[in-house]
Amino acid sequence: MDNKQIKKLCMILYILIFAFTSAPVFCGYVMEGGDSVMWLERMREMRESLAGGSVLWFPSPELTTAFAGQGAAFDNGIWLFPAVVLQILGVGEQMSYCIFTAMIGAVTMGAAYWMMSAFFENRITVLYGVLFYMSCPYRIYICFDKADLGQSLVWMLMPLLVGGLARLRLGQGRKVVWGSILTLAYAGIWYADARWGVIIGVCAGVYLLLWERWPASLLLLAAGAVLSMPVIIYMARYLIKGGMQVWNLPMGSIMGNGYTIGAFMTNWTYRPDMPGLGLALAGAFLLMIWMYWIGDGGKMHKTIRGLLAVTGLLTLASLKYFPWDYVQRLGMPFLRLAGLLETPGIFWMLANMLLTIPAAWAIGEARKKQDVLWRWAIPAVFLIAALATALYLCNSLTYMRLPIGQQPVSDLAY
Amino acid sequence: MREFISRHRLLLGIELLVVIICVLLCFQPEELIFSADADAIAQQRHTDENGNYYRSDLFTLRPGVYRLRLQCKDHEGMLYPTVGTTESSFQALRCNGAFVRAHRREIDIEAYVVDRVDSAYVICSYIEETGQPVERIELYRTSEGWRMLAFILLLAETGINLLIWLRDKLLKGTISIEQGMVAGILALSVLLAYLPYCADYMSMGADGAFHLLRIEGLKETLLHGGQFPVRVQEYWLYGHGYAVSSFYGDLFLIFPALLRLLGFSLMDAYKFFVLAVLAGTAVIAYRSFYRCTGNRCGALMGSVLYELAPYHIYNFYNRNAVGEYLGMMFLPMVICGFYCVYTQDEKKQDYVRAKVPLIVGLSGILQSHILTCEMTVVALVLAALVMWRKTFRKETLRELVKAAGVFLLVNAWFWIPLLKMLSVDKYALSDIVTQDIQHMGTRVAGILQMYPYAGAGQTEMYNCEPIQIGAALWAVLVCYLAVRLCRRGKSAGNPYDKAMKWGTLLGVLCLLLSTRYFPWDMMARIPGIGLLATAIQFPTRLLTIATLFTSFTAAFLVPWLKEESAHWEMQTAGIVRAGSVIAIAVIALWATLFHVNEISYDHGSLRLYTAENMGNVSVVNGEYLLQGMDVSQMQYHDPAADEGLLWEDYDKRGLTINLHVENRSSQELYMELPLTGYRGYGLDADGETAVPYITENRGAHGDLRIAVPSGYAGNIRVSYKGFILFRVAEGISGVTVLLWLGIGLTRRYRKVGKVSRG
Repeated sequence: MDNKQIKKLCMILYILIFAFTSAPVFCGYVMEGGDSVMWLERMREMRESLAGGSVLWFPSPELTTAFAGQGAAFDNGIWLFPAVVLQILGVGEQMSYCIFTAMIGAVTMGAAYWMMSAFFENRITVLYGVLFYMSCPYRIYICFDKADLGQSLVWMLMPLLVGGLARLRLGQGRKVVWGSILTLAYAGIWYADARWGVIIGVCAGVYLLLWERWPASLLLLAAGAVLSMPVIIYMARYLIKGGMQVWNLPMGSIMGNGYTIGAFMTNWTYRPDMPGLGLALAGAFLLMIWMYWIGDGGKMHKTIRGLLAVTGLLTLASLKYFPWDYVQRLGMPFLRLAGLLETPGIFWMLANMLLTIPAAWAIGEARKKQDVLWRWAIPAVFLIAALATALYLCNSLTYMRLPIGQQPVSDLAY
Repeated sequence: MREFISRHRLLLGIELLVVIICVLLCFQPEELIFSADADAIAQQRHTDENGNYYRSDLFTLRPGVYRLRLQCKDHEGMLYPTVGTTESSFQALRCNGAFVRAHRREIDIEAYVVDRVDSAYVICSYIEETGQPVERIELYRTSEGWRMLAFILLLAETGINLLIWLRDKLLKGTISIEQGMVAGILALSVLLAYLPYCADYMSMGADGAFHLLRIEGLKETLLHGGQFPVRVQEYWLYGHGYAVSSFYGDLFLIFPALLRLLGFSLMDAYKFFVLAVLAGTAVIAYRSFYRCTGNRCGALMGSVLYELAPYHIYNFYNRNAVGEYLGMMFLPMVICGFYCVYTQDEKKQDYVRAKVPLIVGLSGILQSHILTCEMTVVALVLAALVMWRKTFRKETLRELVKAAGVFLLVNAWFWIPLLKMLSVDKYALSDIVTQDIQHMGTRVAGILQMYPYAGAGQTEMYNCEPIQIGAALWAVLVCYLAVRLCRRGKSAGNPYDKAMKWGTLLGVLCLLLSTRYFPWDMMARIPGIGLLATAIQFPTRLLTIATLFTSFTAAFLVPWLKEESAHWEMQTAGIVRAGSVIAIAVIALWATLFHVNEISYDHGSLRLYTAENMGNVSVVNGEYLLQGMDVSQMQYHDPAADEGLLWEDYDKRGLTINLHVENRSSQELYMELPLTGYRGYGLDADGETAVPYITENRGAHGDLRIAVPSGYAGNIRVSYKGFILFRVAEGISGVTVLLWLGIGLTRRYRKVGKVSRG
């Protein structure tokens, strides 16, 4: 196949990936369950505050307590502007929510493409990277099951941050542009979900200092943090000084909410709030191990190896056996921050994001072989497994969740 | 054949002997097992926390089919007789019992015994009934068990003989291994699709009760011999009758009705029927697609995907949409006929045969489901207009006109009476077809809903039914699109290009039409088109046609890929061809297994042994009721006569009523009979002048009303006769079929003669 043909084929597959991994947005309504109602109310709150001549940047305590959405207390409303503007223009609340989530999905795919193409040159490998990222069960869980728009935005911005860092590290020209994207992405993460600003900042800092030994890059993250000052100050005041009792923010132990080892490997179904790797990502991970085991893979780039190491650490942090209780005893700021995280499973989400890169690498290495099995059949199986799993998760949600504000459809509708 | 008989004469002899013995045993007289008269029943009436009931002493039942007959006086409450047992092996006694509603005088209910039951009893509960209306209860052992056994043996023997015959042919090489594999895979696909009914129960979909009643009504009407073809079925609406047969072709329901006459329970008859339709669909689809493509593998793929398409299976189990799935059985024939008329060489002599599948297919659809027929005809007309260059070729136009003519003549017995009925009365139908339908379409997310859950909702995504073309057919379209887009330069004369392109385009178009985004409601306001558009009731019905077109595309995919890959490297060609077929097959298998398992797991089980248990008012929307009829007001009743009009010797058998009337008053008096007042009833009365007649106006809830002139006394007989036009139409159809067969046979013999002379 020539380059043009591969390009066309990839185009079709990208459309399929987007359609299959974003299926619920095509309902044209918002499903019950998760935080969807809270986010709709948040949009309404913002719209009303704008009509009143002010902007309610952070959710009100009434809203967070009414929907038990204390985790979103530090999510800035700036990201909701597109949906709110749509509503002001006359688009219905639910439709604007659908359009907004579809936009997040589309940008996430574009960002994932940008990130993967920083690591890989081969089109098909990039495609598989995007496939793994988009079809990751944790992403589908966050976007549609938990319906947490703040964390959906983190899924959208994370590839921009990682892609920017990778391009700078690998010296792929236009440093100002990549640096700006990285900075803006990090700032965007703070605004989307402040908890993630802390987690990603800490992880990136540790990785860049210890693995890459590249302290200069921290300046870019710091610039991002400067841009996010309104959120950082708001959150830091709570973490250090406390208060905000009206918000009823969580401060309990989170250790018990962590993953068990078996929960990492779930596929079609999972325990509440604990999605596993899914068939494709788990398969790609095993493939990678297998290739290393038999010494069949090429040399993995240092950056990817570093990401793999971070993934391992994050996985450990997400376990229910990780001593989060001791961390919380280090002091009140730690108690408050860990309490805000609500579950150690949140680290598994970051691990999933990063694991998609080594997973794509494994497929890329497999495709370098000459025989049909490795070059075509195994990647095709991965493609089908990823799409089938993603579609199953999406189809199950649309099948089982009522539209907001509707009664169940009668069995005898006709 | 002779060779087969001589080779297997011993086996055939034994088979014949067994069947003869069974057939002889079918003529045994009915045996009275148990009876109780009014006194005995009164003595054994009990009362407990469940209410009043009569329960007989215990008796023994041998395996067989039993009939419980209960006769009673006029009563206001309800009775519920059934046969029960204190203990027996699992489901040895199969009887549901049935309600005897107010004013009903007699009921017969079936009971099936499959293992000896030593402690059987008859029980009759009295519900809101304080009197003792039951006059007699009798339990008979019938010969229906032997009839059923004879039929099953005959079927099994035919199957065995067919397998032996196939084996002989395969060993001789008359049938190729490829053909054998085609038969095997088709059989497996039928069994896979039939999986939810491979149980001793069935699931009841939304229209299930209606279609089961159609079968039961047809059986009862045929049994009483009043009409053939049946126009108004008795049994429905507390014995008043329902003109469902006039509007909804039930030609193919004669098969399950005959099984009912043999003695099978309604559930088993229906399940047999479903199996037959599934098998018929697979065979017809394969034969049709093979005729179009000339490629076995392609035809097999198209037919299997058609058979296993979620919308096809959904019509069987989710909806029990008998009309629609019967229509789907014939659709491939229509597309085959149309394709042949437009693609075959019009100069060749056998071009005249190209239209035959079109006529047979359309006739089958008309006799199955009018709405599918409407959609098909509209699609055909549009397609003919799009391909106007070919349409207006002399030979093609002649064949199309001939096809339309023969189709109309062959089916005159059905559509002329239908139009006549529509012209002489007003029905609830006209209220229903004016509804808005756009909101009944699917959403974009519905198109992406590829896991066919059982579901129960038709219009939303929550709990949605599998209203979709399915993952496998999508895989076909994606595969086609990918290969076509990746094509280097323009097509190098792939002969299947047009078929693929049009199949895909039309499939996607129908898919779009089935959504709520097509302005159906706006269409409904366009004069002339509006009625046609809204008559389909749900835009999702267009998935029938979408499934057909995409399956048609699937059938062409294999030969198309073969032609396409001729320009590729050998290894790539092999990988793409094999990979596509394997991937599509795996997706189809996985999706179907998911679907049938979902249905088996999620749908409730229903063990229906006693047809009377269903009642007789499940008219769903009641499209064929007379306008203004209120079913909730109906009940069993005797003739309702004006004061001064005397009647006696009342006898009602099906839709025929005999009675003696006497009007002693000085004015004309009226009487309402328990018959739905459709036009077409006839009245025969004693006397020559001033005899009773059927009035234009109807009685309460649409009852047939007769006027009895002053001073009249005599016997009258009221029965459904239809119109003279019906007989004329039946004659036209009969003559056309005979002529068509005659011409066909003559041509065949001439051809054979020429070949043998040559």
